[in-house]
Amino acid sequence: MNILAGTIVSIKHSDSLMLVFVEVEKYLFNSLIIENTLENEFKVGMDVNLIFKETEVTIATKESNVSERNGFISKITHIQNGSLLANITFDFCKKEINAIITKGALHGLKCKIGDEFRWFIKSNEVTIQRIVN
Amino acid sequence: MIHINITKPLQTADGTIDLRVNKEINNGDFLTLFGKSGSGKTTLLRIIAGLETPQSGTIVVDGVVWFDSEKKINLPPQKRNVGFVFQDYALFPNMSVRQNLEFALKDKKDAKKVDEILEIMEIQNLSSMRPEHLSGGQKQRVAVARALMNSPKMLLLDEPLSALDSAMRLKLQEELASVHKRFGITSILVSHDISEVFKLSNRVFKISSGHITDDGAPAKVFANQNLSGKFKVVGEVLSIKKNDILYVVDVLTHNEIIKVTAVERDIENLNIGDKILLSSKAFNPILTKI
Repeated sequence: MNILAGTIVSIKHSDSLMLVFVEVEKYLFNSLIIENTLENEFKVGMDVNLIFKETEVTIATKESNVSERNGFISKITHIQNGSLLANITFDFCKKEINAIITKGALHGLKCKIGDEFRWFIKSNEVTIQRIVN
Repeated sequence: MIHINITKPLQTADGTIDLRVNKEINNGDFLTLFGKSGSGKTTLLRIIAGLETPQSGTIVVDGVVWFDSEKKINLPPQKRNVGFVFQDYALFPNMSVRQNLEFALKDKKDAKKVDEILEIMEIQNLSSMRPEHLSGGQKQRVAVARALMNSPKMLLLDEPLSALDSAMRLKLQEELASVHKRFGITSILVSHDISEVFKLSNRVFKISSGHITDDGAPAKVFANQNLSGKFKVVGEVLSIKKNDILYVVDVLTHNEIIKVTAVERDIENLNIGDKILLSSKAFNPILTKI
């Protein structure tokens, strides 16, 4: 799992849907969730972890336009090849972000260590975990 | 309603701790006492049964005083009308199954009760056998049958399934649930198996060093990991297999095996048999009408 610690800076509601904005370092992430429950109430100012699976992270070239707001340009630090899949590690504000994509996609993008690419994660794939002190 | 307000010093591996419990338990509840060994859960069960005496306090069941240290009241176990199932079943080895049940019967005239319970627990075919010829699962069934002989007000279960393999454990969990449903007896189970807690009980006391640190429905006590996921299930890790650069983890939940992918970091501290919480966001599951 990719885990990034941040702080909730804003919340937008539409019925039971909530779009939670979380600041990680100086970057803004969106997480789409369904309603707050009593035991799990998210509020502005709360410290949270953003959690998302490596297999949900997508990669694009720096220039491409995508609908996703959670898209960030980072440098590739490591590539691990399997037979079907590849794990690409990015340095995002000194934290590791891992993306698992097919090897075909990796070759199509001509990714190599040291290159900068845009990685992104859909807001509905981001789970929020409250950090309890 | 059971009112229990007791204290008792306990000798544990970490020194002396004070068991302190002040709780009410509703009639018909299936309550689990959950905690590490040495936390005081079995002692609490034995105190309710009258097998151990608290240092101070009271136990009142439906208005009847079972124990009162100030008034020097302490009903012996046979007057408390509880059925007790021990971890090692404690069947009499020199008696047949039928004789084990007859021996437990207080009113010896009520002989047809033995047949009735043999039938309910589906162990008629074992009635002439001695415990040494029974499997672990059969012994456990006989032990539950014996505990039910005197129509107890309460069924006290001290880790009755811990010695069984997981398939037999699942089957007997279902039987315990159906006994509870059929008789509506207030049941108190000692367990350290989270999936068992979920399957059987409507309330759980988490006990740590003699104190109840959490009290509520299992979903509230165990599943609140402060995650925003909407799909949460407690399960047990059955296997972890490497597939390409991913790992596929088989998780047993209720009666289903769910496959989940993970990366090496996720499984570093994960072992077969570990209890885990599986969660997913509300957006991922796909609905298909069947």
